[in-house]
Amino acid sequence: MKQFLLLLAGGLFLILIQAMPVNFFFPNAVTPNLSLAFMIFVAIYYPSMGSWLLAFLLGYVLETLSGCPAGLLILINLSILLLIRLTNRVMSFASLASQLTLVFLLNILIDFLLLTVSQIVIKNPPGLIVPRVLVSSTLTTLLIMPLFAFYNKNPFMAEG
Amino acid sequence: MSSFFRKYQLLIIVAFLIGLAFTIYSSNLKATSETSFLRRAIMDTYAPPLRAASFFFTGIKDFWNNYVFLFHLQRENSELRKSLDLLTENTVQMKELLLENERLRKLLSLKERSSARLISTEIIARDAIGGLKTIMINKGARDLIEKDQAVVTHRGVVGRCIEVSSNTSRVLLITDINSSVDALVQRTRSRGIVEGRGTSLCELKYVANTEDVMIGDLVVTAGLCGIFPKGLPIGTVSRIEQNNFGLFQYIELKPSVDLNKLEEVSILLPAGD
Repeated sequence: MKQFLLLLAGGLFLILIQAMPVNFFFPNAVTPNLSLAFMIFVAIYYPSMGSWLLAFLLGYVLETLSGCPAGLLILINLSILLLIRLTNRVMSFASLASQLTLVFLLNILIDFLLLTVSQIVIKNPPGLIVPRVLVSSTLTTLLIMPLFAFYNKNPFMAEG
Repeated sequence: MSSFFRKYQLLIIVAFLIGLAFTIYSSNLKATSETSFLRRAIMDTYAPPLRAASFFFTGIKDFWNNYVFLFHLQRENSELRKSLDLLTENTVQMKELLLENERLRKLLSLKERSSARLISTEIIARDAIGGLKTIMINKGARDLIEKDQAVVTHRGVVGRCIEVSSNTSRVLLITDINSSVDALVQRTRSRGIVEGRGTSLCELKYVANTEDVMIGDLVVTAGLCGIFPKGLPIGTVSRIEQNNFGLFQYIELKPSVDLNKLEEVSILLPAGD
């Protein structure tokens, strides 16, 4: 229960960072998707039943603080969890490099999915969309790196 | 039964959560006028920390601009003085035109235009998902804010309120892909619809190929949709492409308001509120 509450607080805090109007920290129109990266962290290091409820709650809160259609981000969070849990049986994400690669690639995938669902991809040339997605994914990966690096050196959450 | 549930506990819970997410998504497809109680509660809960963060970072930015970045102030000061002189001259001319307009309207017995009230508010959050264009402001139902009220600055149109809680509201910017505003080109009165593209630009759609539109033309609200009064600046034409085979021109607009640097906006309350 303590782990669940700690992770929930962490996720809610990252959503707060994502929603802040700090334009001079991040380039225009680029918002790092820290909550997505956090979900990947939870999927890898918190394989308990509470992670599914966490994905649901964080997805709902993120939708409320964005103009995203209700239910979409919840589905995305649950899908990420499912994908990583299934993939974990085949390949391990034990090293920092594999974890950050996963964050980078999933961020690109989810960004394109959201831009496609909202039809932004259809209305704008690829030359505008691709750099934006790449910058956002790179920024997300760099910002979440300390969390993964810290946990790799100091694993403090027991599995189960 | 209980052994079945224990055996497939994880599967049942995951299936339930996915089903619930689909239910929420499909219920969202119906157009409803009310924001749900849970969403309002989350918006109101996040408002104080967002307000505090906004105050903190605005303070840092102000300190930097006012005390550290001084060497630009001298030049900026003289440029602003020149702009002020020009604007004062324009204001005098506008005032004369306004008075003449009122006299002529009285002569023609036209109904007097009622003036709307403005409520100033600060932006406390931007959209948590980068591709979408919404912002959160620190005024809500308690301050008489309602859904579909116009949001503006002195430079022009910003957007409209789409969600209102007790103390906060969500504003859909004109650059959002879901935004559309009826508009007309100020110079030629050609009508169209300004739609967002999900980037920092907008598009003026449904303007026929035969209409006269030039780069630099100002596009203003047409006042037909009942949300924005007539004549508010939306943007200037930045690119035009004429299609030999299609009916309409492709017209790109640069918004009059720099939506990436917004800190404060005003809500337009209808007259009588």
